[in-house]
Amino acid sequence: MFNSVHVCTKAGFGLLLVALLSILGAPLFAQGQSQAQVTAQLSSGVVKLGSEVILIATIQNAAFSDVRPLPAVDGLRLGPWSNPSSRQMISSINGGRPTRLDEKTWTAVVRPERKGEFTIPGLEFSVDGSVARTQPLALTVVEDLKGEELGVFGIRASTHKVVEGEPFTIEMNFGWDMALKERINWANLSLPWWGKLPGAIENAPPPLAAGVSQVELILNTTETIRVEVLPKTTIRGRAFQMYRLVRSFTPTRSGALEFPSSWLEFARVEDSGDIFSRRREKVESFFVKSEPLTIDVIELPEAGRPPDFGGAIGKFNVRATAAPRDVDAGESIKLKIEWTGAGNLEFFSVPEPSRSDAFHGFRVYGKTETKTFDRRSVTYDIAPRSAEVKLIPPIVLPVFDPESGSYTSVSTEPITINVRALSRVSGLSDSASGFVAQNDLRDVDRKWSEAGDLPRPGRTTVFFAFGLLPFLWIAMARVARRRGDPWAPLERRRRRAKAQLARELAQADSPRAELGAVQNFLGARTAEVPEAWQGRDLREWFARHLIAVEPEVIRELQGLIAELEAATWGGARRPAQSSVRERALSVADRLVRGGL
Amino acid sequence: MKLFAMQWLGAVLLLFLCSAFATQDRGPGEIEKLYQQGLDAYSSPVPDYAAASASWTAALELTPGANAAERARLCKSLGNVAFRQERPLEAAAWFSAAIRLTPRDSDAWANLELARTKAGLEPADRGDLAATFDRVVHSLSLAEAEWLALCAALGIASLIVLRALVFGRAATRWLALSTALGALAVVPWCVQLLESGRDPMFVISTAGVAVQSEPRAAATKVALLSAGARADRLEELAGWVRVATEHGERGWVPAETLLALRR
Repeated sequence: MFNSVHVCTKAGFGLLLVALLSILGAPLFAQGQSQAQVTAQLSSGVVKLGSEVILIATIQNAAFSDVRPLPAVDGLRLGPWSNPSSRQMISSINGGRPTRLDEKTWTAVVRPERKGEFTIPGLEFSVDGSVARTQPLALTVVEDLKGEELGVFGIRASTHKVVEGEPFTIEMNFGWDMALKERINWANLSLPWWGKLPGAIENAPPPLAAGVSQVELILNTTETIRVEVLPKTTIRGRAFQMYRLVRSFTPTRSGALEFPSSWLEFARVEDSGDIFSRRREKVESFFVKSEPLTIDVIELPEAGRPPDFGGAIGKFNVRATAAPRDVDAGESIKLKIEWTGAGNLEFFSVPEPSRSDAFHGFRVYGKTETKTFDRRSVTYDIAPRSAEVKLIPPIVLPVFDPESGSYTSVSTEPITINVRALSRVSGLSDSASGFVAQNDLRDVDRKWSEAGDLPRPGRTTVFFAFGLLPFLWIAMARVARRRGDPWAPLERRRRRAKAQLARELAQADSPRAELGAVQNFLGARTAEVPEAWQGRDLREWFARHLIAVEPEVIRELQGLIAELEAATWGGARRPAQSSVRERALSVADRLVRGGL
Repeated sequence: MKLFAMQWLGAVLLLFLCSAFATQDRGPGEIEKLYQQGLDAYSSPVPDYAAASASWTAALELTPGANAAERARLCKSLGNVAFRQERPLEAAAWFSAAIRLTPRDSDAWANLELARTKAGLEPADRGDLAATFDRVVHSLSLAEAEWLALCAALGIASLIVLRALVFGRAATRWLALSTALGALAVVPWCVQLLESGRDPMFVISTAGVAVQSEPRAAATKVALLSAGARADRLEELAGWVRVATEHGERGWVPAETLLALRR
């Protein structure tokens, strides 16, 4: 009847982004938000034909949320959704960081059109860009809600006013007339609030006493639950078969906690049908309902709240034991603290002795905890630092007392211990033996040693050395040039020009291209444009530029250019390509060797 | 040609070494005597810190311009005296002065950080990138930085010669690499060269000190130097020091509020 789902994002990237933003954003927001929760419930699980029930949807802790269209259910008229109502609360239960709770609520009217048992499919909501869906809701529509005088259903709370974080219990007593005993073989408990009540956490149910008789009943038509069988009770002068169900809750925010009317349906069910299709049918049903219940949750007062308040609310007793109590310095002692009483024993944060000045004489190694509904146990592993420690100081738990409406504290008695100093402490660390190292100056040198200074080359020397480098570079460059450095820039340029000539000749497909390749080579080696070498008197040029190239080479070059020009411009026959290539490369090689 | 080049290089090396060793100067035995006197006063069952300070200050005055290690030891000892006399700012100044002389002295660094902590100043080595770079650059003494620069120059010179004698790309690449490394090796020396003209002072007044436009008590206050701040000394008059702050303000401050870091 009442369900809750956690909203999950569809894409992994979304999750990653949300996680990243959460990590980055956490320190920025002192008042963090919890995970979004979506709940839906009916105001009653049983309704008489012609009456209505209210469908209530609540979304908590969502930045953006909205309802989606209601599903169609044959036999029920649903909706439409009302406008939402919103509210914001700050919750700080358990002494933790204050948490902001945003709550948005929509309602829709459900009108039955015929009797029967209906299942409203899971409702869909848009929550922070995702779709969240609740579990289906069950609704029983009957023509007549007879049986009020034959049954009894009482619900009562341990208190009607609690402070945020203070546990309370709900006790339901229900049953039917013993006169119907022979006629009743089926019972369904319809509790619309069952599950996660908005604004409350359900505590673990208290265990039943040994020897208590139990019976299994149907809960909300879909599941079963064990309830306690009570002795026969006389009500209104008649004997009733009674049952009991107890549940405990801890409110997580201030405001009203509403328990809508619950129903007990008790009936006679008979098997019907043939061998192929057997079914169970209710031949007679009776209904009895409880009154709705409201618990007022008030905020924890700020006034007088101790800084180390860990969220303990209630009336507690405490007991402390320590073992062993006769120890060596540094030896571990198990200090067991046990809180009992009425309160949120499962939810508060226990004191941390390591943060207490009173425990300065101890090293606190850690703690282990166990929690039950009526008991909270913590075992601290502590070790006295030195033999001067004689007592385990009291452990103080700040508590809010709902009865007096004020903060108080519950503390243990100091425990006397005997700590023996170790005769040989070499095996213990400093801190374990009670010695606390402190930072201090490193001492002056006790012995004068004539440490000689490293002789300084002097600023002038360094300047001189670096000033010398350019001259050395120039001198060595000249040496290298004279020695014919193949990696000198001039040599590299010559090699590059020859390689380009060979490449262009290999790719040349006409005398004009071959002529161009030769002219390009000459242009590259003389820093002139290639066209300048058209029709030039080579002998005169080489003589003018004092380049010591053999006349033979110049003649050969002149001849090659003339042949190529004749083939290009004069229509003469093209010389053999291999011959041109061979001659051109040979001439180029000799020109370069001659100093071009 | 090759022989000539080698002879030339040898002559240059000889010149370097001659000029390097020409600057050596050893401290006299008087310093040791004064140091021992200070140590006796400092180490007696009832320490006489004033006497220790006087002896070590006198020893420090005997050593200007000579033996950085000895001067650093005296500065460190004077820092210890100031610290024991509950003057952590002055102690921090002395330890800073010691570190300027022996930049990698771990004891001086530890004491400096302790003194700065006690004085409520932020650590000298904050651990961020700028502080780490500063510490690396200043991790060599002036002599070490000069030798490093000189070695870099010699290395580059050797490779220039090598490249002229042994042709090839490898030689050129080695030369380029050594030039780059040489440029890096010169950085500490360049930084020290740039800072050599500065005469830093350390503010030892716990309340800080006002920089005044003129050397008189009633003069206008133009800036404020906080405790532990540094300023460069420009000139001095009786009881007054003219300083330039890190922000460029210039003015006069009482001499007793500052301690010179150049020792």
